[in-house]
Amino acid sequence: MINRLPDLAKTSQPIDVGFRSSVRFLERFDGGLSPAAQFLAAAAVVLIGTLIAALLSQVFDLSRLAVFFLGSVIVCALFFGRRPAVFAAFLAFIAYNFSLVEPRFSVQFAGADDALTLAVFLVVALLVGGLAGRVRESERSSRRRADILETLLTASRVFSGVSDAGALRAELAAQLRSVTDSEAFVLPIGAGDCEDADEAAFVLAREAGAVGHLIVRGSWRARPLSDERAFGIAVWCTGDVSAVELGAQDRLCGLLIDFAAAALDRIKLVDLQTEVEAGVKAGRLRDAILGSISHDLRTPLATVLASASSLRDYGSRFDDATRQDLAEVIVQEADRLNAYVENLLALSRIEAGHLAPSLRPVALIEVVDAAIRRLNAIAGDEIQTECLDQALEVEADATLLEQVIFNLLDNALVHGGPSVVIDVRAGSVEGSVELAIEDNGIGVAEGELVHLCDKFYRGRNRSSDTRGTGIGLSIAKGFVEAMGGSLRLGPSQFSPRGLRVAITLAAAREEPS
Amino acid sequence: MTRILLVEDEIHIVRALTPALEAEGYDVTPVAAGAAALEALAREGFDVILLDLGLPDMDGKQVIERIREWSEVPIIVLSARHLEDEKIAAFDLGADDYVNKPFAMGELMARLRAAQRGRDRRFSSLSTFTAGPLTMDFSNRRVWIEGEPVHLTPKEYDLARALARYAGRVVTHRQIVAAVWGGSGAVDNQSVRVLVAQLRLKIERNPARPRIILTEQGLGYRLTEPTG
Repeated sequence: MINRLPDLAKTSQPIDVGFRSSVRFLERFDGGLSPAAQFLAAAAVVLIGTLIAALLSQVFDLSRLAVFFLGSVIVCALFFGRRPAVFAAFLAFIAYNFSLVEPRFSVQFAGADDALTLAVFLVVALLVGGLAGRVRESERSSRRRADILETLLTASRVFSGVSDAGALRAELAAQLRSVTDSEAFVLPIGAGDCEDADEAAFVLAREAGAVGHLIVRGSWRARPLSDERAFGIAVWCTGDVSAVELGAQDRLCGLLIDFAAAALDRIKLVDLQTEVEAGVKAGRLRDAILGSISHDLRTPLATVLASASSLRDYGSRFDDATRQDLAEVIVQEADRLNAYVENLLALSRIEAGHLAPSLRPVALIEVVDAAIRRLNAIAGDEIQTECLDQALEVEADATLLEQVIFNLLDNALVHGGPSVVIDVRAGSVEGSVELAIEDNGIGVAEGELVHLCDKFYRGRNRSSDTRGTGIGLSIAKGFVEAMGGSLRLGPSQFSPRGLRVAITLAAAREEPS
Repeated sequence: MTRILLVEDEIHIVRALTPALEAEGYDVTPVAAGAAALEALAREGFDVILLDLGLPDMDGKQVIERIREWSEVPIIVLSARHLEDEKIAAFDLGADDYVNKPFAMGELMARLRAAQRGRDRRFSSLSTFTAGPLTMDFSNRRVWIEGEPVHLTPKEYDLARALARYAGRVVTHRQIVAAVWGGSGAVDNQSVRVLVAQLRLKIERNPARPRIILTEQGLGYRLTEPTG
């Protein structure tokens, strides 16, 4: 279909511009006149020619004046076409005979001379009229081709701008309507009765869908958009159009439908590509999460299993210190495993929306202390709580809040490096309490802050032996939000590179129960 | 004394593995990164490498590739990501065996023994092989099950010999194809499965629950450890 376009362009081009403008001029004359008016106008032209000849007959030789009658025939032929020209030829012959030929002012047919005159007039009328008519016709058809080309170009521009199949069908219907100046619908396959097309159009569409090509019923046409028929079926009425133009209109409608089908094909491909890309992305994320979970569960398990089986199989060969160390490793790694499983369960509760925190006034310092106790041997000197206002109370679920603070402190310890100092402070701001946990660790790269709360996201700035699962922060955020608070990440305020995590929760009401 | 290079970034695992390995008479040198492993191997030389694939500085597969550029030291991969593709890639790059985390010490010890046998056998002139009820005599291509002679087709025998040669270690589909069909690339895994099924029919007491030729899903087969 695209291949046909250049042909159209070629045929409409080689029309000389001057010729074209003169034809336009001719066109303007006959364009507005009905056939009867053309004959009248032809008579008027002959009359004017006769009057001029009559006036000039006072001065010039009669035989020279015949040219005015012939001229009026040529004018009629040029402007009005063949039939008015023949009519004018007869009129001009009579007028000539009447006004100039002796005996003047009487019509007498006098042999060969007159016959020759009439014949010349007629031949000129036919030749010039025919010629002008042909020029007019070719101009008309080339203009029609230009119109078709423009319609197609507009349609292709419009179609390629549409990214949705429904909108494209509506656009095709609109184009068909403007071409036929009548009714047109484009029905998707299996459309219900909700469409605004009438019953007859539906029947026709179904029929066309069944046969798979253009069908014609009177002035109605129906055609599937493509061979696969999956794109929809166009149904349109040819409208008020002459038999000559009907063929051209049908071809134009066919081309429009082909264009729309190509555009739909493209939309379908784009949709498919988007779908595939989304699927690949989702699959990749799932793989990453599964990989992360399996790695983080199996690593402590591997330590536990290796240590336990060592004790069982080789225990008698170990000294006390070695046995003690292996037992210690088992306890630590089982703890770590337990914490991870806790977090995974918490995460799934957050995701399922089953988290129902029971909010009551909670003394912040107590929760922070409990979290520090849970971190046991590792914490202590590294965690500073001197700036924590001991009187502060928040509306919170103590269990959830403890897990949040535990996760945040654990994060800071894990990522802070060996000389980490963690500062925990809190203050009340307009009815709410802000708890900030800052470290002096290696910090977080600028662009990573926004990802840090994503599930299973692990920052790039981590040292080689960093344990961590990438879910602690997302759980902290989920818990805080479930308690109606918010969690924000930012650069530390007292260390040049460290991370600051701030939690805001509602302050407890006056009387704690 | 057999010297092991333990490439593992999880300090707890190193702590858990070292005592038992030392009790078995291995000398363990732990390193926590791929670059350090390559360096240590080049500097000191080791008899076996235990390699965790998830290293902080480089992919464990890359470590295998780099080692295989110049050394034939047996490499046993330890990994918590049980991905078939990853295992196959590790084998293709030249790993000798693969242990899934978590594992009991007994399993790791068996793999270590198998890896060492592979190394020692090159210098061995033993012509008979025994693993449980299976006995093979390589010098005259004869096979017995519980003392009863078994007749194997040439292909079945080649398969059994390939598996026995690396007894206790995984033999990948590709290695089997190379050993049995001479590496003509047009043999698919299905043909290998069919051949293994035939061999099991002849040597396993219950071919549906094999005890001698074990399947390593997606990877290949492993003949049980030799006895005696």
